[in-house]
Amino acid sequence: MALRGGSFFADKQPSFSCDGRFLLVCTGCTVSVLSVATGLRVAELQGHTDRVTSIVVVKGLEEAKSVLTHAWTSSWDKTIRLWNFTTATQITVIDVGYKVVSMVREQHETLSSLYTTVIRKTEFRGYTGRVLLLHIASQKTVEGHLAKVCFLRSLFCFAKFSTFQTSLPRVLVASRKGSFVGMADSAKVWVWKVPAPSVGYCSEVQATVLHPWQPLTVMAFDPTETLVAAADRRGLITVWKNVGERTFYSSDYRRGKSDSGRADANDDAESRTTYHWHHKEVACLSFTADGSYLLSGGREAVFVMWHLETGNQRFLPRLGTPFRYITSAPDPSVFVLSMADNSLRFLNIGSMRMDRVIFGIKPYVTCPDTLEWLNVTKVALHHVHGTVAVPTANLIVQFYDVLLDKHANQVCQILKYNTVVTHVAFSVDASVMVTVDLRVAEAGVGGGSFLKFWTKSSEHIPYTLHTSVDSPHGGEVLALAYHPSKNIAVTCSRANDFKLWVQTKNESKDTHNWRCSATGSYKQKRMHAAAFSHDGTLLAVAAEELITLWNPLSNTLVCVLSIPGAFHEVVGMLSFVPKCPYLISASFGKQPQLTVWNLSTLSVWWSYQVEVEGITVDPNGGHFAVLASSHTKRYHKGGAEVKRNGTAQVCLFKPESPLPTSVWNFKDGIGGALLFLPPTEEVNKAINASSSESKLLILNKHREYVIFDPYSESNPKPASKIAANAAIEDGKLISFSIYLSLTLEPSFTALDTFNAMYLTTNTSKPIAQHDQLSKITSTQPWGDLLNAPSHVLPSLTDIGQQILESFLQKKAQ
Amino acid sequence: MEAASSYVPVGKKQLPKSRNPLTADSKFWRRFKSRIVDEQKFAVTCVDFCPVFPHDFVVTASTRVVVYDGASCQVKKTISRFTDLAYSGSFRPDGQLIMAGGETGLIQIFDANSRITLRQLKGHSRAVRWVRYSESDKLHVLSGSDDNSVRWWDVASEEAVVKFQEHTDYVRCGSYNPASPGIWVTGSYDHTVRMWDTRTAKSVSLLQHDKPLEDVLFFPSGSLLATAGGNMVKIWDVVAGKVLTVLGNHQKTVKKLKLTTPSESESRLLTASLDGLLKVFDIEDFKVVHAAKYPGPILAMDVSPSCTSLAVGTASGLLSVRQRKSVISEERATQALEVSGQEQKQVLRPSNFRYFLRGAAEKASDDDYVLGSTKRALRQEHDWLLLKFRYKDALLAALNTKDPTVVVAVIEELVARKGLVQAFSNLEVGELEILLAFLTKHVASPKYSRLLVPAAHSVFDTCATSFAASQSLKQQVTKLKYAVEEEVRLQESLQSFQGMLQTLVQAAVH
Repeated sequence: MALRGGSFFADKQPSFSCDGRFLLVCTGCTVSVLSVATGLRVAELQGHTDRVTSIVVVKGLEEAKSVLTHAWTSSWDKTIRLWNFTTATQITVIDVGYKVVSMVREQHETLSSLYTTVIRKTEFRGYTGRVLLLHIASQKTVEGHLAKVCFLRSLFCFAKFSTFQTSLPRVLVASRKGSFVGMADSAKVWVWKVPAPSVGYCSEVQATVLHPWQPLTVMAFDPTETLVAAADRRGLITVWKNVGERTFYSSDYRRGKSDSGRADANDDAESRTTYHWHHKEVACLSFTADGSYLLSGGREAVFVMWHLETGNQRFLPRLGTPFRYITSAPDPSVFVLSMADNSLRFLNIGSMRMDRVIFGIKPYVTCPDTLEWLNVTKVALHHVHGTVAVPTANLIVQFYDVLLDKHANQVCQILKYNTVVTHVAFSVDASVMVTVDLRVAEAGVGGGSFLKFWTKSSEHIPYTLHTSVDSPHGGEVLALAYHPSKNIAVTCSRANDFKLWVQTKNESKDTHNWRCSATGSYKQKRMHAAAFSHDGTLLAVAAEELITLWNPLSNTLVCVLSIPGAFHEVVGMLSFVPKCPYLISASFGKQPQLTVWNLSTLSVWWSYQVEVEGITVDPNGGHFAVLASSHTKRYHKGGAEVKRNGTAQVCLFKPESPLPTSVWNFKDGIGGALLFLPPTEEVNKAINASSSESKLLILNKHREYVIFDPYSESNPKPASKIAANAAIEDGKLISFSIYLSLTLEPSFTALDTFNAMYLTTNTSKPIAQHDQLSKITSTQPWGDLLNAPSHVLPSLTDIGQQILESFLQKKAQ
Repeated sequence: MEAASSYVPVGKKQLPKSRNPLTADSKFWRRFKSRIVDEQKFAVTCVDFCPVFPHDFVVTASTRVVVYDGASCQVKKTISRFTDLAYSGSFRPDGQLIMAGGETGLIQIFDANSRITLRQLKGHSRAVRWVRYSESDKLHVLSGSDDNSVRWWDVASEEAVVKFQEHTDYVRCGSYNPASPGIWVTGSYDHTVRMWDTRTAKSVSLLQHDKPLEDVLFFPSGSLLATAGGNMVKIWDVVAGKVLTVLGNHQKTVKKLKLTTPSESESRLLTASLDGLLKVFDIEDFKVVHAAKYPGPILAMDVSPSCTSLAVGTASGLLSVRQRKSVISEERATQALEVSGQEQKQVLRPSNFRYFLRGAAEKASDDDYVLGSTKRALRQEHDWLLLKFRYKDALLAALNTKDPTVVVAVIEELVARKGLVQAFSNLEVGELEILLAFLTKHVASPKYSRLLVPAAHSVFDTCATSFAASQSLKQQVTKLKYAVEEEVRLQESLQSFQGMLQTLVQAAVH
């Protein structure tokens, strides 16, 4: 039994039930029914096999409102389904045959047709879409199409929700009375009059087109159906009055005539008014129920309420994150704002106050482009309460209860823009939290990392800021680790050093201070990762291609490990396996590597050439799990990768053996994270397991997650629930024998990346074996011969000959 | 709640407190502020505080003994009935009498108020450099003389009761044992310290210091003895007759020892030496906790019993008196309190405005439940301008405060809003001058340089075209250039210095 959760509410527009008691939101492949009063999920509509794209609640007569509990949903799985959302049962499934991007249903009770935007894949660099008309009664689309829409491929990259790099996909909008349906294309606004039910061809549907000045993002109809508002990327809002009077109501004009004139002046509208306050892209528009106010929101995170007559504005500033959607509730004073930080906020426009906020798990931190290589903490285990800590933008650390799939708490000092929390670490008793946040520089001014120490004084109060260190190093902080038993934290930086921070007691004032007790560096190498061993006696710090081991108490260098033959890779992750003498490292570069070191012999135990996204070790010891991507990143000069397939593999290893005990494919796993949860009672209860082994939490790039028991033999038989969410795709347990047979099968994608670099499982290789050294020198110039710690190098008499030989080769060339 | 949080004012930039290098003792002794610096004609050979409040003190210099007022540090009286140099002017423990020895060997006892010579003790054939009243009975005096003898005098009859003749050189110092009456020690230039019981004529014990003795001092317990001779101070266990510690902290002869009374904190040992240093020792571990430098060899030093005044006399004739400032204000406060206490407290009536404010300043007791008041955060001018998105004006408002912490905080806020370059590019010539002046002043400061150096670069990038337009701007840029060049030069010299030090440290380690 596996537990899943964590979904992005704000990806698609939510919808209210007729009586206003429930809110239907798209959560991945399912639709969640949330109670407006409590904010909790009351039902979940499961059935779609791909992402749900839109929800249309069936509306009826005034007296029938409380009993009508039907809703249509559309999805990328090429179906449209009708549900009873109080009983969570599926009523009808209509196969459209195309992926459905958006859907509206006209509101005349006598008519029964749906407009859908669908997409069809074409060979030419992307997708084209069609707006289709669908008869519900016959379950067939009307012949022809209403409009053609061109989507660029980039429109479907939703990885960066909060930065709005990509535009929203075109969505259909229906007017409230239901006479019109519209769509804002990039270059024009389409307005269709809802046809009679007997219409046989799409070309018979009356339509008019408005031509704005700029590519549009969003449009809206006013309740009286006389105004059409549309907003563009520059923040300009245009409102047309009496749209379609000539086309739809005057007998002199036939459709063909109005269509022929495409000039600006020939738009079928009486007048055009513009409103300009936003200076960035406007994401959503909505009219109030009486039509006198226009509501808009965009990337500035400011809610603006326009009085249409006068053009006066009212503002609700400092909301912290960009807008995605504004949805009107049956109560005319309430609107739901879907924000990009995965929250739903119920705004009362009378008082301009938030009645209620529903937080989902917040999206990943997006670092600025110049710092994309920064290896941020994606999720950290908060040991005591079974919650995980999620660092996010705007200086917020969210605590998320993964078992209840609920926002638990958040810590926020001051809402600050352009500042992201990059690292979080906790002490074992969770009394101390350490965070690193990064402020993005403007024109090279004022950027840098800030190290903060937080303390928790009591159970109910969240963390309070104790010490703040501005610019703890010269450059950005790249890694953070906390000692397993003492109050010691370590930070590694771009400025080629690491620092140990200790808590010291001030005797006279009986307070605790955080001080930098020691600093260390190795050969002026940049330090990318740090980890404490579980007994706390050893600190491993990655110094570019080397791994340095230190004694954190005396701050002395103990040992240096170097990966044989890897001179251009950078070690980016380090982890100790508890209760056994193994250290795991993952390096990045041209030849990324997962390496397991045996610390008792100080040698490489085994390694794989694989790109690792995340490592987690079982706190009970004995196992570790790795999130590995099947396609290696390709590094350019700029350092950015080109191509990424979404699927990643989760492999469970015993450190003694290079053969994984289990492998799972994980869709959208690249850019995700994974974490072992200790087997507390609550965890076992939540996933109906009783074993005393740790459970594995995997998050994909949308922060949807799965918790399951990785050791249980029966478990990875995928429950339909998991498959539905596309979390664990083919969760077959791949046993040892299958593994061997499948490596011979090159087409099997899950394992062809695991090319065993060393198949020596039992014999360890000392690093500085002389035969190995000669192999290196034969391929590398002699400069690399000495590119190793001095104590690893053999004596000069041994390598002297090879150096001389390399000189001779040079001369010969 | 996070949603629509209110505007948080941009306060001052919080910088880490620099660690105070002063210890508690240093802080205590630094609170002594100089009250008078008097130039005497001759060397000040002795200073002694009266044990009775207000702790007047006598200063012995040349042929005069001068009495100073303890509170105001003004000269109260001058006793000049000496035919030759006077020595060792000191008070009787009740402060009523003053006595002094002299070059002639005559010991005189004066009335402290009327300055009349009450007794003259004759007997020493050579100079009497040290004389003290017995602290137990006020009737006897012990004196040490250059004729190698120590005499125990009955003051009333002007007769020497006991004469100790065992020293073989000048006797220049002595001390009374506060624990057992009648026990004295004296130190002599014959390198020995002898302990006397005034009831017998012979010394009770002998300590070898190995240097001519300049001062000896009993600790309050009576079992520890500090002796100063040469440049070292020895601490003795008198009962066992053993040296406990040797303090060799002074370069030249230590002339004077003094223990502060343990009223203020733990007692401290003060040593004054001819090398011009006054050092303070912790008497638990005998480590130096404070040191003060005086301009000249110190001959005389004393601390008032309340540890509020410190008087030092040097060979060049300088008399320096330092007093703790808080003590002065405390005294004034107590005086004021006495005055105000006499006034009757006025009963408030409804005719008085303050009647309606009764209880407003009442503090909540521990078991009261306190309802927090919603205080509106104080907004400065730059806050209002930031609220209106007037970034340039906000920057100028911050610059006008002349407080670098405010300016740095506003620049950081502008960076967070991505409005810094815009603010820079909108600046007029005159406003640019203010900014450049600020940068010139603070760009090299290590507290701010990490932000201000890139900011200065940004200013040059955005405003370079307007520099050519104005002559005064050119001057400002030149000034900034000099400031940066100066800092670079400093850094270079510091680095070369560090390089030198590193080689020394490396050599020392290996």
